[in-house]
Amino acid sequence: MWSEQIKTETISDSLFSLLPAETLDLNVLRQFEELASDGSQDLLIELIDLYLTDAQERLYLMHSALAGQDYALLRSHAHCLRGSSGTLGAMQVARVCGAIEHLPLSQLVLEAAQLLDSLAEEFSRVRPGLLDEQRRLTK
Amino acid sequence: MTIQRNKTSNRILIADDDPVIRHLLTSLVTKEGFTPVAVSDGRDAYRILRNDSDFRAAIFDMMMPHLEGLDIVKYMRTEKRLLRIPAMMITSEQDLKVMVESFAAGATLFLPKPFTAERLLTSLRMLLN
Repeated sequence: MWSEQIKTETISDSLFSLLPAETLDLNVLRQFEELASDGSQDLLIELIDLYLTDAQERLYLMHSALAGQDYALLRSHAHCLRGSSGTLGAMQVARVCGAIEHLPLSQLVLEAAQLLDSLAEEFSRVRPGLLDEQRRLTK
Repeated sequence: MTIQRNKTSNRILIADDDPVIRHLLTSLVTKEGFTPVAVSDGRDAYRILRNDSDFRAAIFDMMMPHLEGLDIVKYMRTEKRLLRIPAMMITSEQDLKVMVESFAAGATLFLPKPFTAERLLTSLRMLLN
């Protein structure tokens, strides 16, 4: 049991180390602001809104998938959330999603609950930054 | 009723189950002067393409519920009326094999996620022009 824990931590840590560690990369996010060259900030405000709503929903669905031991569904939600998180600069959320997606199944079964806790924690860290960005844009 | 593809079509078919990416694509396509037709899964995209070929281009997420982007592109390449519609695949997979599979299936462009705003716009313009 003890050796199993050490082993799983080592694998997760190595997967985590493959991706950047910044919680919210505002440079990534603000590139999309430049796309709204017509002076409208609406696009980025809408994207943040959609992301926050969708991520919250997916976290719930991922917990449901885990409760039902549906690991394929869990990975599918993680895959989707990783794409939008990386695109909007939520690097740590993307990183944990990547771990959920790519861990071997036997490892995921052992670590899924812990990874979902990490995901919820990372999302709670990134959320205020995104809301601040929204406030900045609406001023 | 089957809608034939018009050479001057302004419509772009977008299929992505991620609402953030779908909205981003829809907004950019609109901003570029085209008309997006957006759906949230592969099955809906397939249903549309069965009766409607009036599209300037198509953008598909690789992994979607019900039917994957790759399968839709394969279908498009078997239908004469859909053959000339360029298709861009978007995916979170960074694997070279996935890119090779996309091109082998008949995709015109391949855009890995996460993408920068500049890369997205460049890819979109390449696809549309």
